[in-house]
Amino acid sequence: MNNQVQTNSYFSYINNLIKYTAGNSDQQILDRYSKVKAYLDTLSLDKRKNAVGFDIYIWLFEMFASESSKWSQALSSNYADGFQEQIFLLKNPSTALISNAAFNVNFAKMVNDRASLSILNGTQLDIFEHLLKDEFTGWNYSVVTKQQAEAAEAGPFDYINLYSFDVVHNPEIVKSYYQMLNPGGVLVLSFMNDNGNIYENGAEYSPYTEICEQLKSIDGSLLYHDYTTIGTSVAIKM
Amino acid sequence: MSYDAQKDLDYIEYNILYFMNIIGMGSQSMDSVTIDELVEAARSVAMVVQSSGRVENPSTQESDSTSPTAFEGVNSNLVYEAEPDHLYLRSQRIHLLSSMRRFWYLRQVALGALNRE
Repeated sequence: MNNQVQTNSYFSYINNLIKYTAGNSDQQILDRYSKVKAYLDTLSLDKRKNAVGFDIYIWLFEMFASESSKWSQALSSNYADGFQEQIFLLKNPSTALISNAAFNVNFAKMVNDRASLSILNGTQLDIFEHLLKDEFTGWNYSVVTKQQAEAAEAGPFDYINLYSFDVVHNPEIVKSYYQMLNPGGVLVLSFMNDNGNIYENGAEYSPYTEICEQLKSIDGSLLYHDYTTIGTSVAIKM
Repeated sequence: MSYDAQKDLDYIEYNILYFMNIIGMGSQSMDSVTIDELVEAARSVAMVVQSSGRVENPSTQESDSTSPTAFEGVNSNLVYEAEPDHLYLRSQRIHLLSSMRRFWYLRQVALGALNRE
């Protein structure tokens, strides 16, 4: 499922090199995200700049909800999920925990069909169940609260997929998620580049770097970082 | 099992209260404050004071200096490029603000979910 990209662009050449399945098509993104945006608009959310800043986690549904949005037409937006799919398929886990079911329903379905799925309780799960879940049938998952996860009272899991936003407010809690891995388990953290700031002067003081330091401090852990698109960190429990 | 709005809200409000304590507003009720008040208080945390006495506020890029400085007319972010203490405080303040704003937003969404029940 390779989306349409502008020909002769940098990403059009990359598009020619890849083939993956769990990414959302342009139409799927538009249909799902516009539905979510319509629901969120009913909540009269305070979206003034002073209230929300520019937080991609808050704005993501808005960014992709318009047919004319350049974001949804960019391969880099869609293929950002390609890495989590790749790692999931390579790992081939029996048990998995994800936090981002609403952002990528296709990936959630892939995990559901191939592993024993748990989903983290939160806004993503709420939106997924309320608006997006019925697009597919055959869902079978359990729910883990963030309180349980941060006490490492769930699992164990072979594969955990989080967004940085799940832990960046308190980087230390990433260790609790790691603790829930089976030996050989994999923890994938997406959106780790802090809009590119993690590669800039001062990054050593950022909580995004602190997340990595917390994982590196664990005996027996390995940590990798893919610096393309949104930045993906992958920890392995040896 | 399915989404538990109350547990989600409990988690969100726990973190908001944590941040409110950091910025000195822990004694107030969450329902009595606005995000604007929280943002303003967060911007006042650990203000950086230069030796000239000029107070820097990287979030608003304003200063309250009454005396001319070498940095007037210059992007105030440049002040922090090579100074580790400024970089550290600036980073902490930026991420305090973003986390607070995110949880405040998520609280509204969670309350919306509770109202559906």
